[in-house]
Amino acid sequence: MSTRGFVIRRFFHTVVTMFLVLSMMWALFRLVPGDPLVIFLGQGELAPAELERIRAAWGLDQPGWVQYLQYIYNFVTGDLGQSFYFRRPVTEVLWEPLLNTLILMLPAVTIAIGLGVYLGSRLGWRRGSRLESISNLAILVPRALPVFWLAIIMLVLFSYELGWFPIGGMETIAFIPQTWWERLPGFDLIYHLILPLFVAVLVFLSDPLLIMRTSMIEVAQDDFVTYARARGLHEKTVRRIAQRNAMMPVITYSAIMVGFAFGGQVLLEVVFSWPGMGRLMVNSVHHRDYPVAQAAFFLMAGVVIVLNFIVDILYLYLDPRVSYE
Amino acid sequence: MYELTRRQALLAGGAFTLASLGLPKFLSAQEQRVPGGLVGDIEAIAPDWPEMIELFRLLTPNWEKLGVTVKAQHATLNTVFALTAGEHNAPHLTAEGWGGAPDRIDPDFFMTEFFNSRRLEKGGFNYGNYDSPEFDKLNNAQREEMDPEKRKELIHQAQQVLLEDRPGVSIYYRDYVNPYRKDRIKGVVPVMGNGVGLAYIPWTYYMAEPIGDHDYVRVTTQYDIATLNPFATGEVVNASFLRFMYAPLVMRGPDLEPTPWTLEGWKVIDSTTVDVTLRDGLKFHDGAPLTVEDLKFTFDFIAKHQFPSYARFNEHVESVEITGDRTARFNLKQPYAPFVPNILGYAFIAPKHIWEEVEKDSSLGSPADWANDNPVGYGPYRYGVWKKEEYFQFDANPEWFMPPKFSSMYWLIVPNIDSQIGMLESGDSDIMAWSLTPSQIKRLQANPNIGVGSAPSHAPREIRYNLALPPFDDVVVRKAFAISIDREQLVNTLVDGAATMGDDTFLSPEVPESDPSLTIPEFDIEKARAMLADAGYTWDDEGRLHYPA
Repeated sequence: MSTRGFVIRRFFHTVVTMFLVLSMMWALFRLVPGDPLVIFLGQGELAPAELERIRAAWGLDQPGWVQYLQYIYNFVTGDLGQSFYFRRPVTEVLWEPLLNTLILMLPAVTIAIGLGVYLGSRLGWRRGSRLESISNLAILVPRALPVFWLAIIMLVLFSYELGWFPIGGMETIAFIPQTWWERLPGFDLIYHLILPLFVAVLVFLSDPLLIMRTSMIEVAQDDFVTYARARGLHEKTVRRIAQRNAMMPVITYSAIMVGFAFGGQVLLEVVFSWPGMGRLMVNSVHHRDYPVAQAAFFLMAGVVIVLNFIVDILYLYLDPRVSYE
Repeated sequence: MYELTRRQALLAGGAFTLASLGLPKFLSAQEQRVPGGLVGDIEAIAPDWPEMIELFRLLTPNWEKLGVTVKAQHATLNTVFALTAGEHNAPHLTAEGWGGAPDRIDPDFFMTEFFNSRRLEKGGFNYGNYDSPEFDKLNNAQREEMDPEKRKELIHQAQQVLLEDRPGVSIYYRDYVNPYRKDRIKGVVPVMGNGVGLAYIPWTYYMAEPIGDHDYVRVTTQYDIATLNPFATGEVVNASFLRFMYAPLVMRGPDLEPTPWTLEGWKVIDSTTVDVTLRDGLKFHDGAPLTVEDLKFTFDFIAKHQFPSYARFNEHVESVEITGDRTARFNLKQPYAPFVPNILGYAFIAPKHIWEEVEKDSSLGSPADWANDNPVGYGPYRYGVWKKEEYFQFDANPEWFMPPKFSSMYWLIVPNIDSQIGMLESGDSDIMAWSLTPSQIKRLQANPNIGVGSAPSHAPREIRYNLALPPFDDVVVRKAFAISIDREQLVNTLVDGAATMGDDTFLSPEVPESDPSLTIPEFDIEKARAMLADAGYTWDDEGRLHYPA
């Protein structure tokens, strides 16, 4: 199979996966008990004719398969529909929470991956040392702790007891800057961002770090590393060579991590009152707001799938040994 | 490429697991009453709140002393609601905890919604399948009786019928308890079903004063606005937020008496005619004068577009006639006793000059679909800002006849209650629009800057029997279950005594129309067993209850 053939086939698979995700989501939301109309209206004082009119306006009067085809058609043509709950176009509803989530998650993921690669490669390189075993433990602890617990403890310590950071939200209400640094643009946002960002990095750090470490241990056994040493290269240079080769699994993993970042972290968002995608998704499931929930989940799944596709292609360039011929 | 198929398989597996977890299943549908046969498991569903889980933990042992097995399932409120009100697929017992919306203070709400046979269809709240012509007759009569004293008499009779038939138990009415900063707010106003901090009947935000270093008030809440369009929403909390701007014509006072708000006054002429007078000098927030034309326009608009949220208006209001500069006459389709609190108390006025234009916008299916991004009201607060899931800000309207003393209100959306408490303690908020649990109250009371305001509620924690499912088709079983509830223990354990015990008529003893001679059913399991025995029920060697032979 030629490289071009691979890319085309891989693209085709990406499209099929997207389609399957779409279909699965449609089915899942309709398996959840509860008529969105009943939940929306609350009490049954409505004339049956009027009920039917709304049902028709929302397309809920059609047979299931018609609703399904309409749903696929709308998604393909980029029409995400109207939110049942907010009564606005879904794109409008998604926009702000998405932006808020990215403000928190993109730096968190970037720092976690960067730091993970850096620390992971060093720990993997010093396999068996005392430092390594202590560090392993230190990394596993935040990973094993429930996210909300960790977040609440941080909140209690840094906001509540020490009073260094605000308790939540994205901005101070009726904020009046008192000092010159408080007048800097974005000061208030960054002030609110630090603590959730710190917790998010703690939570995300362990995966890329541990993957990098394992990969580094494997690579360290490879012939080219032995060869590099035999050439008399400085240990630091040898590690750099090994590190570059060990990064491939982390790159694959990063694609998934970034994708999920688009979905936000609902527990962090609840604890820190951060108005992001996670809360929107949970609330839209609660309200049976299918259009918003579907679009939000699809956005997350779509980013994961597309990034995976891109990473597969990128492999060809990153690692010349990889060939799909 | 293996990766793809593996991921798909995982997703598919997940879908099935989720589906089977998501749907509570009840065996009860097949249950039959066999003479002499064993009474099967009693199935219950309740919301998944800690209070409800604890409630069943306390109820079940006493009920099981009657010789039955009680199996309680807990689900999210929406799922419980969907199964019961939505699908009318209730198990033997359905527990619910209701909120204190102002229209529920009138006895008509719970009596009609829960027990009138008209509410038996899907979507109605009579999911316990109570169908009594005698109750319907009394209930319909109280609903149409415009004379308050005569109406009370009918309500008391209807309460007696409910006690005789016992279609459910209204166990207790939990107080609303809200903490606030004593060093920031002076003069909070407790109102039934509202505490001091909620937006249902928000006298605190109209009458209390700021003290200390700022003149605005910051409220924490779990609920956000869903829409700014007052025609689009009937949802209780959202509608309450909008009433700060679109003031209702009438509001219940702190003493629960309906008092003029946008109106200067009203007069009941006869059972289907009510005259109203608007306050002098009312103005919309954009400066346009508010006239009786706008009032008529709003009711015509609601009638024309049949907004689901205002179905009650269309059910009762025939027409609105302009009778003078500031006066209008309401003609009702039939007499409706709760007209003043539940229609005038929910009615607002939409500026004609704005909504006329909205109506012409052909891109909208209905004016309810309009975003109304910049709401123009006339009430005590004007629209400021809304940042979804973050906060919204309303500013005082100095031109209102009773201007609020706070310059602005900020409602901060904080989903985590512990964070709300933390914000109050650290001074990042001034009041909590959330009712606290006893342990939270104790913790906050240690802080000298924090005060706690509370008020009783009219909205029950209740359990309804499904009368279509044996053994609850038998009134003896329903009564036996009712007196096997230790209400005192429940109230003391669950809410530290901060509740009003209920008498199973679904009207709180605190509601002015309720029969004052009623008493709380006495807890007596021996009596319950004796009642069952008298009705022919028997117990086998293992102590399990059997139907009469």
